Amino acid sequence: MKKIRLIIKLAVVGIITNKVRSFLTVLGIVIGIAAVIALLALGQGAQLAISSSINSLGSNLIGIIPGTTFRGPPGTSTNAEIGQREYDYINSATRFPTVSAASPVITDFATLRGAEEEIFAEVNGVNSNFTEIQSLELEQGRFFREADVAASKNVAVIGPDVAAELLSEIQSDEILGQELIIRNIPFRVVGLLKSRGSAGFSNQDLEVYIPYSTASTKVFNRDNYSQILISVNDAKLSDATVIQLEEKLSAFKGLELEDKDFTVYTSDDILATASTVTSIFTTLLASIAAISLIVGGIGISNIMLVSVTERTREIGLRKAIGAREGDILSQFLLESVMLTVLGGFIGIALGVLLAVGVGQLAGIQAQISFDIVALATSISALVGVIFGYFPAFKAAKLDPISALRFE
Amino acid sequence: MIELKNVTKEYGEGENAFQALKGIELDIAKGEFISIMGPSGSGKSTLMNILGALDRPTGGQYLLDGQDVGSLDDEELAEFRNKRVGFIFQQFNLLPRTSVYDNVSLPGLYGGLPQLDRRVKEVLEKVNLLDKIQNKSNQLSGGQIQRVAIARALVMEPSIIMADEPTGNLDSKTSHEIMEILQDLHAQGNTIILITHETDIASYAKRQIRLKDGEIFSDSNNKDSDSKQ
Repeated sequence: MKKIRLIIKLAVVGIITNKVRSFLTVLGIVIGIAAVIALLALGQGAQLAISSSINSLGSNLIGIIPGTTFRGPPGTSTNAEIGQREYDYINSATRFPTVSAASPVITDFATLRGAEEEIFAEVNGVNSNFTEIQSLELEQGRFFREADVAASKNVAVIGPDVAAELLSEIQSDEILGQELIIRNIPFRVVGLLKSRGSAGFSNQDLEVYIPYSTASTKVFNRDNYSQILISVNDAKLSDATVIQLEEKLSAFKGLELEDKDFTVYTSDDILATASTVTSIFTTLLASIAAISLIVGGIGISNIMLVSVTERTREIGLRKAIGAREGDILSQFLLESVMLTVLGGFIGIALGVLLAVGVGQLAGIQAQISFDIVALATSISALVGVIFGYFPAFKAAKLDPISALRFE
Repeated sequence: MIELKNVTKEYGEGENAFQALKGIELDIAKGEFISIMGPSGSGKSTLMNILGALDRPTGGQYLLDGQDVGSLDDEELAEFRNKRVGFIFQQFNLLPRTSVYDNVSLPGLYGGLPQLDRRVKEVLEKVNLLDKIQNKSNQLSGGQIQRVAIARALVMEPSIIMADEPTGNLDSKTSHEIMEILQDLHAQGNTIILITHETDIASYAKRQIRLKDGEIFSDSNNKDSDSKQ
């Protein structure tokens, strides 16, 4: 124990005495670790933002979209549509007891016009029970009612960014009742949504909700739905409900289960896909950053070799008074590991600053977890071991006599 | 205690082979103070390396306390040096920027000596440097450095103390101080082997061996040494 303490002490003395050289030696490690830390922290931040916005859709959410990702043999089914017929079939409490609410969704982009401005935004035609399926909270007014849907009324619930863009002239307490033109059709604003933030890739605040009946017959003139969204009584019943929906709906459409022309997905599926995508990106970027660690490691090797040569006589002296090869090897390995771990700590600090700074510019809350810091520390120690090994081995193998005579 | 039987050392191979030691026969008893002298190229450094277990003989036998040193592997040689030999060199004797205490305790750390702390203070007291225990090696004079080196050589209570030109870098006054310390250690029963090329330094030893061309040229008892004591 005392031996290790002395070796550590000597290594620290060596590092401090050669401050500038030590710093230049570990600069590569500092930059590499900082880059890895920053990318991982931002990646995890982005992932968290995406998953939290997907979770805000509701964790017990099921969607049915037309078509399949895996298509059967050609000609099996061409009529891959979902419409009123399927919706009515699903929207039956006796047939699907675990379904608590279902709504058609007709999504399309449209030009919106306010008093002066004009924007292009997503318009969703949904049912009046849509707030039971997705957690939409209203800042002002109300969501449209069953009667609005039945009568295909021109009423709209708008996101806060739509209000900000189109109705900026209007006092916030006068937004309700204002007129909004969607594809040249006038609508009356009945509700203003609370901000939900951006969902990683799309801005959830730049959205308009109108009755699906109005969307189908007046605005987009289409009978088929983009999807049917369903919420289940209990998130635990999601998987069972998916199987039930697939079986019964295939039978209803007169198709074998394997030939079905629709896809049933859950919010967990979206979450899994999104997190796979972000983690692939994060890993890829961090791997590129890790290349600089190899470059930094080569720097460590270089300086350690110089140090071994400079200290040849010290090594000879140590061997003369009884140091074994293992003692010399561990001393130099420890020195290089201490250098790289020190560089790793500086890199972590720098990486955290970088992640927070860039995160603020990009609107991502950087996530610095214990895991990342532990990973960076062990990587820098590993770099020290790998790239310090050869110089340390060289030192350990020195012949004591010629080492003592070395000029 | 030390027995060299027909010890040879060869460097190189074939036609370029060079015989540094040509069959050395030497017995050194416990408690002797012996000096090895000779011009450069006489083989005295080679002999010191073999006596100090830094190197193995090519032929013959080196027995210390009955153990055949030539048959030890590198690890065993390192342990042998640590436990049985105390080295004092001419220069670069201490670790730079390291305290007297750490320098002296180094062999004890490698050898895992129990109660090292007490032992370090004991040997520093012997060389009268207890007051410099926390000083760094670069804050010491040449004489003080050699005294620290002597203390370090004593820490493991070795069978022999090897002093290789210990006064080579010192002025004559300091040289004699160092030699007096070695003489005291001899008086306390330590076996000391001194390698030097200076006659007046060698004269501190009771027995003087002269080497020439890899052979023992003379082996005589020194009548002077009593007067120096």
